[in-house]
Amino acid sequence: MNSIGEYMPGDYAVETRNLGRTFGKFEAVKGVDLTVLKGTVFGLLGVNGAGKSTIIKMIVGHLRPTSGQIRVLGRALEEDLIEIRRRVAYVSENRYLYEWMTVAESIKFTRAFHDTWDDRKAADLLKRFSLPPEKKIKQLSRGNRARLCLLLALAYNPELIILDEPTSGLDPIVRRDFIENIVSEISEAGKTVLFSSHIVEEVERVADYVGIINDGEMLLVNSIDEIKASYKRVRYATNGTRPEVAGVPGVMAVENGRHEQVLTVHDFGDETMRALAERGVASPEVLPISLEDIFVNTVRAERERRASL
Amino acid sequence: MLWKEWRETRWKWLAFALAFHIPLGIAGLTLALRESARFDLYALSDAVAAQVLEVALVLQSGFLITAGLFLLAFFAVGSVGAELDNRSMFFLFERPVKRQHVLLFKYAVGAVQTTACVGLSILTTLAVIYLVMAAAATNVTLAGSWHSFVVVASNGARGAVWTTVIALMVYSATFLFSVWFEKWWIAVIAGAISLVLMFYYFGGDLFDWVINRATVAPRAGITLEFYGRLDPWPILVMLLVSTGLFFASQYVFARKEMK
Repeated sequence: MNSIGEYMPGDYAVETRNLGRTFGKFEAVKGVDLTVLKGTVFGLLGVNGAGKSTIIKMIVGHLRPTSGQIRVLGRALEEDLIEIRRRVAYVSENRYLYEWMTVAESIKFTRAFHDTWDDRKAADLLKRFSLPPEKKIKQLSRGNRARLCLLLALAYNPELIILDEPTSGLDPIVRRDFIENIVSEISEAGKTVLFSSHIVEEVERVADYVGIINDGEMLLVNSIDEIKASYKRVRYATNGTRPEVAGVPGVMAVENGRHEQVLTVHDFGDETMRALAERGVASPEVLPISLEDIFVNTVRAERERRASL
Repeated sequence: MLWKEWRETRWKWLAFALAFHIPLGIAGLTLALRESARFDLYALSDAVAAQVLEVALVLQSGFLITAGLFLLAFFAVGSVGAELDNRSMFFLFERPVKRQHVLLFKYAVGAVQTTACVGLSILTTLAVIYLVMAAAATNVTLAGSWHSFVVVASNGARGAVWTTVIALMVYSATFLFSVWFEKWWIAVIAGAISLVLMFYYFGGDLFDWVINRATVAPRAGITLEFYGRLDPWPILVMLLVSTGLFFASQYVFARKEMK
C-alpha cells in the first residue's frame, strides 16, 4: 500500500509519484509513491543504505530524480524551488554550517535569507538550547551543532520541516532532547514534519505515519495506529506437534519456541483465526506488536521473497 | 552574502596583495640585508633612476606572467571548490536563493579581488620604487626624473589594463575548473592553462623586447613599448572569453548535484 487514505492533492505537504533515482547502474530509489499529509509527522524508516537520504535529497532539490514527479506544498519542485525553500526547512544528516562563524553570526547570516524570520523565536530557542552565542561553530559539540541547525530551521516558521537522520551521531540524552524539541515545535498548528531514521523507537515516539523503505522500495506506508492494528502477533501452545501454518493468510514470520509457536501476521482478522482453527490451533492468544517487530519482519519477508525469485 | 565573502576572503586579499609584490619585497630585502647590493645614493642620477624604473617594470611583468599567474590560479581555485569540497555551500543551497546569484556573487568578488591585485601591482611597484628613489637619493629630482617616470608609468598603466584583462580570463578559467572539479589538483591544471594563455598573448612579446634591448639598442633610453597599444579587439575577445567561461561555470553549477 503506497498511499494514505482518500485526500485531495492540496492536503499533502509532499507528494512523489513513481520517484526513481539511479547512480550509474545502481538503482537507489525505485518508483516510490509517497504522500505526506499536512499537519502530520511522517517517519521514513529504513536500514542504512535503504534509500532514505536519497529520497529526501530529491525532495529538497539536492538530487535530480531519474524518473517521477515531486510536489512540495502543492508546487512542482522543479518549477518553484525558491518559493518552496522559503516555506520548507531542511536539516541534513551532516549539519552543514560555516565552521568559522560564531553561533550569533550564523543566526544573523541565516536571518538575512528569510523574510519570515522570527527574532523572538530565535532568541527563545537560543536560550532553550543553551547555545553559547559567541562560540565558533567548529568548537561546538555535535549536540549543539544539531541544536543550532534546528534553531536555524525553526526560526523562520517553515510550514514543512524535513530532517534527514536528525539524531545521527548524537548521544541518547541529546537525541531524546532533540526529539522532544521537534515534538514541541510540531504541536504548533499546521506544521508538517518529514524525517528519516533507522532508529525505530524514535519514529514510533514521534511519527503519526511511517514509511518503511528497503533497497530503494517503499514496502509499507500507513499511520502507526493502523499498522499496529493490522499487524499482530499470535501465540499458541503447540503441545508437541506444530501445526502447518503455510497457507494461513498474512503470516510473515514464524518463531518456534519449545512449547509454543508465535506468528507475526499482517492484515490480521477473522480469516486468520479461522485458518488457524482449521489447522487445529486451540485458544490462540492475540498480542500487540511493536513497530520494531513490524519493521524487522517486513524487511526480512521482502528479502526472503527476493531470494526465492 | 557580502559580509560572508568579506569575512572569508579578507586575509586572502591581504595575502594576494602581498604575493603580487614579491619582487618588490625581494628587492627591498636584498638592499636591506646585502651591503654590496646597495646603490650609491649620490651616484643615483635622474637617468639611472629611469633605468631602474624600466628594469622594475620588466621584472614585475616577468613575475606576473610566470609565477604570478600560478599564484592567481592557486588563489582562485578555492573560490568555489573549497566550499563545495567541505560541503559548507550546502548551507546556501538550503536557503531561498538562486544558485545563479550565489555563483555570480562569488565570481564578482573573486574577479575584483584577483584582477585588482594583479593589475595594480605593476603601478604600485613602480610608484613605490620611484618614491623611494626620489625621497632617498639627493641627485634624483622630481623635475629631472618625472618625465621618465611618466613614460614608464604610462607603459605600466597599459600593462595594468592588459594584465587585468588577462588575469580576468585566467581567473574565469580557474573558476570554471573550481566549480567543475572541487579538488585542489585542478589548481595545477588551471595554472598550466593560465600560463599557456598568458604566454600566448604576452610572453613572446616580453622576451623579444628584453632580447632586443640587450642586443640591438641597449642604451636607447626610455622607449618601453612591449605592452604596445591598447588594441580594443584582443581586449574585447578576452573579455568575451571570460564571459563565456563564466556562463560555462553557471551551466556546470546549475547542474551540480549535492550528493
